[in-house]
Amino acid sequence: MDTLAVQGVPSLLSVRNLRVSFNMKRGAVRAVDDVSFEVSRGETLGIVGESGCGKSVTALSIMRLIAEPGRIEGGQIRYGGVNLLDLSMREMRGIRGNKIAMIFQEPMTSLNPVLTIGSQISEALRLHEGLGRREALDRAVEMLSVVNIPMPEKRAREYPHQLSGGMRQRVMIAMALCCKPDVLICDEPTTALDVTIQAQIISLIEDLKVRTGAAVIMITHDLGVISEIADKVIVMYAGKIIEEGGKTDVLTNPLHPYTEGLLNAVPRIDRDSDELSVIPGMVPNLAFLPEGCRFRPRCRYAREICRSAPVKASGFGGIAPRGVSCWKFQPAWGGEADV
Amino acid sequence: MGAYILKRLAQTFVVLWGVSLVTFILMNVVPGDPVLLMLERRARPEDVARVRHEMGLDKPRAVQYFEFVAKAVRLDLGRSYFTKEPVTTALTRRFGVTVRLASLAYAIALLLGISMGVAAALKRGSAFDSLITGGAALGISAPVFWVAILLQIVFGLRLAWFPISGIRSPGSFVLPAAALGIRYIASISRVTRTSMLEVISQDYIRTARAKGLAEKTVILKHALKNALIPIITLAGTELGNLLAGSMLTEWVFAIPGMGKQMVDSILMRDLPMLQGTVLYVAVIFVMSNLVVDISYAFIDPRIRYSHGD
Repeated sequence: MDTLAVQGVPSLLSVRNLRVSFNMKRGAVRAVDDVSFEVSRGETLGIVGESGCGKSVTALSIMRLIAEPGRIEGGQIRYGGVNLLDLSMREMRGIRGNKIAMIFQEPMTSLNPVLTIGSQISEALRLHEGLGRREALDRAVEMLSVVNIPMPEKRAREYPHQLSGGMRQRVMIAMALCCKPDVLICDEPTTALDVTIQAQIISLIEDLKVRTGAAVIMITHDLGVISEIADKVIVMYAGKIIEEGGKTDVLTNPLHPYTEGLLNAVPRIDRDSDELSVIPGMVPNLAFLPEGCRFRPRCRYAREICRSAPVKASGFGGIAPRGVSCWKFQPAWGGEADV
Repeated sequence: MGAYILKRLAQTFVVLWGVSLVTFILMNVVPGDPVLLMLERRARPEDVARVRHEMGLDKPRAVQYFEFVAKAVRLDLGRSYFTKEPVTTALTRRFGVTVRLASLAYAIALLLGISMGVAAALKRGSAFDSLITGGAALGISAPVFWVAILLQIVFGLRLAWFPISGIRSPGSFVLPAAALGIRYIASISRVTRTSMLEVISQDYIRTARAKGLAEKTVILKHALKNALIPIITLAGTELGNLLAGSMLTEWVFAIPGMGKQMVDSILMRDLPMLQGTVLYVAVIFVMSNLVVDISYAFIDPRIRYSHGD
């Protein structure tokens, strides 16, 4: 069931018309194009899409961690009434790891191999909460036990290579949550882990969210993870949001042909079928986007009208605001012939 | 860790024994006779035979070698054929001069090399980066004697800032150290740049930034410590090269160090002095490699723990 407080609750973080581009040799490529969403306290927003659809770039933009040749071209990222894009780097560093924290995909490479676990966690505490070395280390040990790491005192003195993948991701979570952030961004936190560990990490994030009341942005390509943890979902394709809505609405009644294709591609244990459904074709290269709807070349419903950029249709009921960028839901669709 | 160091020290002795054997064989197979070089051309055969006997050169080669080894383990490397001074005394004196020259050059090379490499990596693709990489290519390819002469002309003769030969004052070491150090500034800055570029694109650097750390902390605490591993490898081998390879610099600047000593003893066929010098140089090489291996363990816990501690 969707637990989200939704309409009426002021959002904690809101992203408006975000545009991010990368300057490549052949010209600028827009990796995130006019992306808008918001997330409230205690809510989990899932962002799904294939590799290269702009999910991670969106997350890194919120932290303002986009590295050259990437550039945030426009839009707003509002947190606590302030547009984060207007802050100086120094002010932004006060937000990172403190108010908005992030967990990355690769626990094996996201921890510094030459620093102890304890020092890597306590670093943020010393920086943002002004704790002394001893005090920060004690809190780091405490955080390790919060994320269910056995023998936390011993582990705090160890180095990343002495820990398993699941354990390292727990350390990443402890590190991200040590300053009690308002927003936790998880960029594919379970992709590199095996299935049982995945489930443990997801339930740990869920549990900590309930305890701290943080808003969570869960980026994943795994619809299973979304169904476990998200309250509302946005589906991205080639840098754009193509569908959004409450988790149950999107997963049980997908509107966009791409979302429909994604859901059909999930193997189902309750269906007797030898073949897996696939979406034909490939994700387009962002430097050579098709005109009009970006999904058009792969879409089984495509018509002539899809050569023009689709307009977002809203409404459709549901708990969370529902929207889809597809001509199928526009009055102009009727009467058009298939391509 | 202790066992590892002991094992490496034991290996050191094997290497040194090999070095002494090879030097001895080489000195005995190359043409030329030290006795004939010492005596005048008209020396009578009986005088030649007497001197040869006094120097122990009439004994079988194997006996000569084992006598040398037996003394060497007691730190007695014999006496110079020509000055009659104990080799150990001469080398210790000259080693001090070389160490002063090499450590100054080494300090300059590490300080400038690492900071220039880090700066070039952080400003990748900029004009500054091109200047550093271009300068490094020049620094590595320029022969040391050419750099030395150039420095003598510009800073010694034209500007008259520093003396151009001998070691009369501390300032005498400036030009030789610069001449000797330039190559190493170049090689260390290149390796530092490459290593830093690799490290700053790693995921853990992004994690450090995501924590809100200042860029200075990210670079100095998170990146540089990881980038140091290849730098230490190079710096360690270069330390040996610096101490052993100061020959040309010492010659050009007329500095009475180990390098000049080695060249002199080759030209004079002063076997005890040469053997002593080569052994000294070998000890320096092996020891600097040992220091490198130990410092890896201090920097990188993955190496420390793989030795079972």
